[in-house]
Amino acid sequence: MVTDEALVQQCRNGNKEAFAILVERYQDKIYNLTYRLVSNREDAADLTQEVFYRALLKLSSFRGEASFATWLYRIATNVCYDQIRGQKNRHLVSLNSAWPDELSPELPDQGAGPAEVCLKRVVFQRLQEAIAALPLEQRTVIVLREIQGLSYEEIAQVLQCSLGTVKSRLSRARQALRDKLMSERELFFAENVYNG
Amino acid sequence: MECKAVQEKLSLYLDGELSISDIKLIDEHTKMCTACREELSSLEETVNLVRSLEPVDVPPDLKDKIMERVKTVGDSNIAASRWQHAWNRWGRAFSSVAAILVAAVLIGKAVSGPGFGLKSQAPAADEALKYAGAKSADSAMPEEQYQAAPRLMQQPMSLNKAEAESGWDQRPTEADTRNLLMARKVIQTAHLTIQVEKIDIAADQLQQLVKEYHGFIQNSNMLRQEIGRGAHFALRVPSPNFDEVLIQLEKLGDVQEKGTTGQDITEEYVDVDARCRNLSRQEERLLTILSQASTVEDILKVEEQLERVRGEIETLTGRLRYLDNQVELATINVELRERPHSVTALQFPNSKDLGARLTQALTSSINLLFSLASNAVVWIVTALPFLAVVGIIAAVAGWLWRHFIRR
Repeated sequence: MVTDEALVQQCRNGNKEAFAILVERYQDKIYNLTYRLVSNREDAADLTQEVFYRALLKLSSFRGEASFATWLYRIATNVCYDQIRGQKNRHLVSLNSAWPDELSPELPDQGAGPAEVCLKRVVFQRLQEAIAALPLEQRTVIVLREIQGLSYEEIAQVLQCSLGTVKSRLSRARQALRDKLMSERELFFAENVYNG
Repeated sequence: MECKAVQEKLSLYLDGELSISDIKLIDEHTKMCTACREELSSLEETVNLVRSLEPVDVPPDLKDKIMERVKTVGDSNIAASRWQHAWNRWGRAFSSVAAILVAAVLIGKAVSGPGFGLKSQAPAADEALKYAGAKSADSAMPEEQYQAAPRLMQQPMSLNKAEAESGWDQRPTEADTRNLLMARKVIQTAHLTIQVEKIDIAADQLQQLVKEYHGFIQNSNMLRQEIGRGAHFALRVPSPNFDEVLIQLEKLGDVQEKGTTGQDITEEYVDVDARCRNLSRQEERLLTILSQASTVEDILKVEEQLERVRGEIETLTGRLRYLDNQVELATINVELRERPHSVTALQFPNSKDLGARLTQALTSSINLLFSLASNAVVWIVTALPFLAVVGIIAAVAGWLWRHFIRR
């Protein structure tokens, strides 16, 4: 498989197909990252476009100090931060966001019965709400660590902070999230829910 | 190990980011401590719950949208990387030096260049200076004219001098000189109005002066006016001293008015002189005829003619003498005025005057406003090219900053 760095070099030589491959490789991760940060599918799609747009714009400044994925994550978090901080002042609400994304009938789980599917959806919806209620910095480390599965070092590179900061921030974020979930203990910590 | 310290490390414990000794300590502690054990399990459940979140599906058209969005990015933006290294090493230093140089050149140009920006005011200042100079020259002009006029009139006199010294380059013959002298009979008159502090003192000085230059006071009168005393003198001074006397007179006080005239009476003089000579010859002939006359009747007739001729000769000679006198002695009319005493009585400004002054003040300030506004507009228009250049530099600098320095 061609490495990301080789593809980046191809892009610099004017090959847009190479960039298309990079988009193919990373759009899922970036879309999921942005979605977990902003909790809105439409916004996530827009933000993902913005991330790749900025990435291509800045491609010449990518120096390979970190991996391409980390570099792309950094752009993604910055784009999301810009969006979220801008939203604070605008209070714009998408019409679709009134309908909880996790409850939208897009994702029929073929293997589970109707009741299970419904319960799972409710749990995931609440969980997403709890994550969204975290302070932005804590939300970011949770998403990068638990959902994107980044290592501590990678998170430090993405957020451009020290390893110690990542450790303490993640610890506090987990505790804060746990406290939120404990208030709905029966829903979240009943057996078999998260194992399903 | 304290519970608090343990709980702080539980997150790392879950991720396996602790040292073996720490892991052992926490294992031991959680066996003993129920609170910490529950804490650990709740955290673990939380982490597992979050990790169980399924990835959301990407909208099927997302890639197309991304590629559409990305289309607008030019190749030049991406391809810049080839020069990236060189740029990082030298480009920034070079660009800052270049920017400073450009700025310096522009500023230098603005300061020294003709008709540009800041300097555009300098010619104006020069003009203002010139204007001021012209003004002072203007005020000096009458004096120069006065000086020049007597100098012209002095020509016969200087010729006289030249004759005496015979130091001329062309060494004109005596006859030539006399002809020239004959050719120029000029009556010089001047009038002066001088403001003086004390009229008595000034009058004394004036008399002294006239005596010194061998002149005399032809007539004088003094008068008392509302604002102060005044005096009028008609001075006669020998023409050669005319200039000098004028200069000395000016020192009496502030010259307020000054004028000189030179009346060229050469033509009249020559005419009168010629007629006089003709008549003299006629007189001689009549005398000859008289000596030859035999009858009383003839004698009486000749005598009659002779008398008429002599009368005419006398008239003409008188005229000549008068002209000579006028030419030899220049006339200076001096008017002395005492400086008006300061008014001690209260004076209220005339209301009409006040209104006019208010109108004038308002008009002039409005005019000033307009001129300032127009100057400002002109200045801005003048500065536009510089602003454009500065703007371009700023834009380039900002672009460089965004793309290479801040990343």
